[in-house]
Amino acid sequence: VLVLREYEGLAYKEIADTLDIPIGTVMSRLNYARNRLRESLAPHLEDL
Amino acid sequence: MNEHITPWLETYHDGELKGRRLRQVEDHLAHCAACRMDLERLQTLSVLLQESPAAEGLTPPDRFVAQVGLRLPRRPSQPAWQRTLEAGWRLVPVGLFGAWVFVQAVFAVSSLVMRALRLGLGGDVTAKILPPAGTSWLAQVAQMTDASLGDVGRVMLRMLGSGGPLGWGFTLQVLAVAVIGLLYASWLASWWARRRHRNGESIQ
Repeated sequence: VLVLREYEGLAYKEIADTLDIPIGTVMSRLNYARNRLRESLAPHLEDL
Repeated sequence: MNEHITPWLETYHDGELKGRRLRQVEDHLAHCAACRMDLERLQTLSVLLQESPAAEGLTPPDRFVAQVGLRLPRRPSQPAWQRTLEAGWRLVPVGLFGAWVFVQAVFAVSSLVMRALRLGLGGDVTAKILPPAGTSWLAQVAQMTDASLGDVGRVMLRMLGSGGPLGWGFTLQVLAVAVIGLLYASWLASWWARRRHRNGESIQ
């Protein structure tokens, strides 16, 4: 989901259609992915 | 207005907010430093993702799966009966060739038997030409045929042995033409069926 959003620049609706999941799920997965990315990057970067 | 807009920030960052909610978030951002910081962190993360060299290695397979695999309309797999039919079409010439070989073998054997029978009308010549009875299956068959077949059977065998009522030459010619015709027709049919099948696929 994060890849589709950040690299492909797809809208939520397009991601939902592509993966055949509800928009709510797209939003929650994006949030989850960003939080996890932030956590894993935290030791190396300060301003995240 | 003091309520933070954290739940909407990500959606706003992705440009997915509209109407009243969008205005609400923008108003809030205008005078909430904490939320502006949050938004900045989101943007930093985005920029970082775009610029990170790992993205290049990560993207292609994902892009491939996402764009090709998932966006393609799912094509129904070929039903089993269709595959069987296609394989059957391909096997038709093989089967015909097998049948031709079988028929030829039957004719050859029956002709040999009949020749032996005709030569050995009294049994003496058969014994001279063929190996002694019991050692050769051909002799056994000849003896059995001679002993057990009635007149009708013997006439039929004789006609088979001489290649049918019109002789070997004619029968063989007709057989060869028929086999060639059948082979050609089956090949045409299989080619037609495959072409139609392929056209059906491209329309889908």
